[in-house]
Amino acid sequence: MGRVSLQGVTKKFGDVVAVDHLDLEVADREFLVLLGPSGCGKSTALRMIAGLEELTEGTITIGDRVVNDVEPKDRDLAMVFQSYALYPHLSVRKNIEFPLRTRGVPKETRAATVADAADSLGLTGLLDRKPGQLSGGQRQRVALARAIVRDPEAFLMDEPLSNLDAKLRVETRAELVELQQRLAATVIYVTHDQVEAMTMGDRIAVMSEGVLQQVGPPQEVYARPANLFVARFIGTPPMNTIPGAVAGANADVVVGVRPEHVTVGARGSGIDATVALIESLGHERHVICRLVDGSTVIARQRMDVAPPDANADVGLAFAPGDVHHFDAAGGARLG
Amino acid sequence: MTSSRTRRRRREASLGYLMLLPALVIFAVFIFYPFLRNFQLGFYLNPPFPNLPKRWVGFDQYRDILGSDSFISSLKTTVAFAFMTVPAGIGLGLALAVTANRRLRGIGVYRTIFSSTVATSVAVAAVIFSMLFNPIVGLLPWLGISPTPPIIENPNLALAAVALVTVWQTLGLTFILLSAGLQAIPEDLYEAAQVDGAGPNTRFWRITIPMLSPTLFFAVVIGSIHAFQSFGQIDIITSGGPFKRTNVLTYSIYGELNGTNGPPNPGKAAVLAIALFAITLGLTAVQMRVLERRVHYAR
Repeated sequence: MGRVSLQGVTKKFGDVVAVDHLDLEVADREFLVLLGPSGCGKSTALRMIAGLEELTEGTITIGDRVVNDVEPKDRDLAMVFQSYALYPHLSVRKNIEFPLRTRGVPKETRAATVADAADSLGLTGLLDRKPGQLSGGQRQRVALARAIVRDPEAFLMDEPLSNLDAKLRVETRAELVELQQRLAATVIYVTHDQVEAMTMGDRIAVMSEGVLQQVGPPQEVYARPANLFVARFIGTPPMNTIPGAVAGANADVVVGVRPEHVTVGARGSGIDATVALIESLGHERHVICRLVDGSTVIARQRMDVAPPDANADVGLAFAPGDVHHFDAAGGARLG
Repeated sequence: MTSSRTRRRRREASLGYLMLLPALVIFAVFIFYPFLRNFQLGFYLNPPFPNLPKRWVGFDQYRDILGSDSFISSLKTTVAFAFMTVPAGIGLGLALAVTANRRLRGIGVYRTIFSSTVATSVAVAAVIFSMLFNPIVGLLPWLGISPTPPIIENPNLALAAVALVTVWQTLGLTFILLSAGLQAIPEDLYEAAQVDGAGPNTRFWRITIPMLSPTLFFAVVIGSIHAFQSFGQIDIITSGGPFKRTNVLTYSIYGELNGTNGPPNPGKAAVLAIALFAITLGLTAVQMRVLERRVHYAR
């Protein structure tokens, strides 16, 4: 039973509230991504689940057991750290074996389990090396192997891909998802990278300033952001938000449109704007436009559409169904 | 092409030697020359009475002295002294460093206290402990204990008493060394070990000790060298006695020079000094070979 439940979990460091009344249910075999900018409390939340930080308030349940007062070693979790936290004095084999040794697993079982874990992550040839002799990607795999060598209630991962180069990150992303499915494991994964969140998670929990903003499947979070923060945080380029820009709308409303829903046409075909910059990414193009009031709207174009001229006066249009409305005061979604 | 490269290399080499020269001169004057002169001094037998000429005896004097009972006895005392001070000093230093490495309110005060003996000179430490050991005015009579004979006059306890002073006096340095080593161990290793199921004991033996092993190794080497070179506390507290039970090698060298054991004998002192040098060098080399194999460097 790899279910993890957080109820009213709060962490204060002095006067600073790092995590504020967090309620979160992670189902068995679910891949849940905790997403948010630096300092939003997502790592603190993960560390509280691991038992590395004490809760100020609230309850954490793993399986059927409340673990608030349970030592990290007795929570039956495995964790992959951002720094990998490999034991530099131990060989790869002994690193992977460590969680088994501490739990008194017999030597023969240990050897076989380590061999399996190493094999599944392509580490067999590196077992006798020390972490210092490995590349970043290899170290990351050792950290993963050390986590999967047991069959814990849940896996906790704290930005495990952030130290890899871009290409390796994309490859490892896919491998991690495959691994999670193969192991049928519960994973709680912390990241600030929305692409990781969108591509890996069964559900995403978006956090900001210690407060949970929205939880849901990636597509739902993208399509129906619960508030302005989520709308602006998810999506590359981010959602265009224009305060009170639609004729007839209440001035306290913020209107949001995703760049892919903005069409660039001739002047008079929508909102008046001027092309400020055109960024070509090879497979698509971002047309960055300036509105009359100085605010910026980005339109995403396919490459087979003819680009507007630089500095051209254009009209920006979007379908009413693609428009999101938010309360300008609190940022909450309207409708 | 090649000749210009050779010329440049030569020019760089001479510049290098020129830069080495000041250090080389200082070492030559204060280390190499006295060392060779000392070595040479050992070849001469000092006359039994002053004003008579010294006699060249070559290596005979080395053989006679290094085979003598007094040398063996002094060497045994020195080794015993090192065994009493080094393991105890490092064990205590480690215990204090681990204790003070916790994030507790006011721990800085304890760190300052634990490292304070580094600012205490050997002489001050020796005087403090002489008072503590004193059977009439010291701590012992205040506690109602008056050992007879007094501790520093007791042949069975004097060496241990001097060793205690030494451990106390070097504790500050050991504490600072080991504290620095402990603080260099990344916190996330402990966190990973905790999640991996390791309790405090496992974390200490499987993370702290191996990660600290380069520092521990360094502490053992310099601790041993210090132990073999201890002099001040012995001179002040026991003067090598009672019955030469604290007559370590350094003190026996001093005894030969200042005439404690008959007329001053610079030749014999020189031989003992060379022997002490060779023993310290050998001991360090053995420690480097044997202990270093058990040291885990991060890379």
